[in-house]
Amino acid sequence: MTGPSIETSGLGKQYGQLWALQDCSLQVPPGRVTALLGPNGAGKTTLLRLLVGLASPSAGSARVLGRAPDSSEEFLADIGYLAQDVPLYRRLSADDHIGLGAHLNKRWDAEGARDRLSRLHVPMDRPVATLSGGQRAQVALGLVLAKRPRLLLLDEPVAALDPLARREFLSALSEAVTDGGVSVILSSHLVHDLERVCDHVILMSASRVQLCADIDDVLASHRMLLGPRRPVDAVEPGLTVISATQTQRQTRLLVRTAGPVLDPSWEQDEVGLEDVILAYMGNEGAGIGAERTHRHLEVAP
Amino acid sequence: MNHLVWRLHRNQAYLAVAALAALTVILVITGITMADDYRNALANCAATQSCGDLGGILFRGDGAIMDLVDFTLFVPLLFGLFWGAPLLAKEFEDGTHNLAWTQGVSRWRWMRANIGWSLLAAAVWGAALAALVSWWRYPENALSSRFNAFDVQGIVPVAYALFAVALGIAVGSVIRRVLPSLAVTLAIFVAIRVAIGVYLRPHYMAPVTKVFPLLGNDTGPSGSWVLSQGLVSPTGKSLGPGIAFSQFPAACQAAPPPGGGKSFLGQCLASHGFRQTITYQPANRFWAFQGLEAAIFVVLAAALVGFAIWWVLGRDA
Amino acid sequence: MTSELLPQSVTFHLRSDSGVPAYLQLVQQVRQAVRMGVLEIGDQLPTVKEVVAELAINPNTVQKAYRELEHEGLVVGRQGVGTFVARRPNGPPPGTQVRLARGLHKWVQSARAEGMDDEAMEALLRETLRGTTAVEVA
Repeated sequence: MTGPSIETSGLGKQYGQLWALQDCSLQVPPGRVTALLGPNGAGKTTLLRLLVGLASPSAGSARVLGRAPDSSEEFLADIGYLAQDVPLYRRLSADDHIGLGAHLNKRWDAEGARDRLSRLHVPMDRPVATLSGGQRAQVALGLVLAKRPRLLLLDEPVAALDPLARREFLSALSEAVTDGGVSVILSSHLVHDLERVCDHVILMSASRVQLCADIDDVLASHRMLLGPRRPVDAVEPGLTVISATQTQRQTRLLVRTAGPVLDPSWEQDEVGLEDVILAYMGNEGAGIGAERTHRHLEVAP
Repeated sequence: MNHLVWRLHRNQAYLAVAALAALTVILVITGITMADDYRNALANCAATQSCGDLGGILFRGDGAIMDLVDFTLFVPLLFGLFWGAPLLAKEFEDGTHNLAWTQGVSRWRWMRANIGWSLLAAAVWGAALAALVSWWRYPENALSSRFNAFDVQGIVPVAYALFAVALGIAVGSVIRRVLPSLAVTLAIFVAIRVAIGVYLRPHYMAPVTKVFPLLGNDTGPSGSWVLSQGLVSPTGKSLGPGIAFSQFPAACQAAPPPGGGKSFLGQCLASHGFRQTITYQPANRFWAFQGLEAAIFVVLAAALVGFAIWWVLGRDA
Repeated sequence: MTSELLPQSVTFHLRSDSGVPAYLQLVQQVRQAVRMGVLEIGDQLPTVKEVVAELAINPNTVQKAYRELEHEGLVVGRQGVGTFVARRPNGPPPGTQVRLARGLHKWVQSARAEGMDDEAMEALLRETLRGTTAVEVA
């Protein structure tokens, strides 16, 4: 597949008077594992439901795998969706779910699903309500992978899991990605887990998209600058200030830059993904392209 | 899709079959006994001149079975509550619609399979129950009137069942929670059944009004549905049902002689020329009424199903 | 006590707070394994899938690490078979290593005698490494 796996243009969703998502225009290249990050209420679930076709847009449009999302069987066959709270039929067993999936899907890898789950020692014949949260998440992931979709959309799949279950889930997910041919987008309000598995990031805040880029590009293009106090406006052109902290003597900036920072009065450092995310999230309500938040820390002499 | 429907509702189906089987056994056993008693009584009543009174004599002690048959009045409602209301409401409440509607099956196909099988099951069970009860009531019908148990025999139970299930589905699709859907389905079902059965049904066709003698062999239309009764004075004036005792002839106002018994007033009035006027629906209109009421409920069911589909397909999941 | 037996030859570990990119950590760990003799020339490195399963990381990270090692000539990848160790990493012969170690030992002792503590020595070493690399590039 050559075109973007996900592409939206001015996408928006309104519930009553409230816009849960607005002005969302982004592109995700194919084959990426994308982290959809943002605080609760930022619009992540809304975006995923729009991409899957479970909700329809109030404004703008979306194209997933090159087509508008709908309820048709061709579209549904290519996507795998795992909703929040891991919905499963509580009284049915994992085996039952796999058996039913075979009847509901043209492409269905039942053996792979059973293999994967038995390797993880997940009980196959008990009602899933009796399994632990981590085991249920693995069953749900197994079902969604058995479809052999071209795009996986996972809504906070590890939110309620303990660290071990989280690690096992992400491990199973990255193994599936290794086999190739599948793009993934998974949402979370925690950065840490996803940094290792993901190579692309979409950051949402206050129902808008703040950032959409490959993680390597993000890390390469953002810097932490520390230097003697100066007005924020007086930085060299080509630097976009994402967040600024002023004290009596110093100015610390997190900037986005296209090339190297030449001003020698700055002490430069690389920034981790979490710090970049935090800096953008400080720009509530601004959206991509708007730059500054200023924090003035007055330190008593 | 059929596998999914079966697997999710398998236990409910087994339960329903077991319940129907148990009911069948009870009704078949008691029904055969009742039919035998009836035939014997018919054969012997001529000797004791009690043929006209059989209705008051037979089946006096069978209260429990009678109650059971009356209970079948609620079976259509049970279909609506257990098969109709949870169908969509439970999927929404549990969030499993997010799973079911992102497999390889479109929402329309999913609705079609679930609604189709529910309606079919309701129709089949309703028909089986109606046939059973109709057969069981043969002696009672002969002794009194089929109209007395209009709601549980014939074809209307099937229509009620379809309506109940359709109502449950429609309510569940809007409310999206099981318990509130049950409550609302119950309330609306009862309201509509009462409204139609009590207020609309007497008017399906214009009733017949005739004057009958107070005593004798032909004191009223047999097997019919009596809507109201009143007295007619010797001069032909129709007196309302709430006639005052003081308006009777003096002779009839006297206390009955010892041993005169229950028919003293009737015989006295009859001898003075009083008669009775009865407004009724004739027995031969039973099937027409069944057909009309069934049609009403089937049309309602169809409208509700259409609404549920339109509502679910046109909205966000 | 949890105990895991993995089918591959060596095991990796990532420190998420070290500031060193993940792929580079893998490169360093492979180099160290070969230096220590845990991996010998001709041994197979864990497959991408095995590493991914153990660490829950993006397969591209592993690919990048193995490509870097291949670029340095330390490993060679055989399509459809796996990645194999080709040669040892560059470094001084054992004798030179001992001589350099002795020299450093002497310097540390004299720095301590002048009142420098360990932290200052580490900072100085880091800056010197950075400074000398920049000079070489220039």
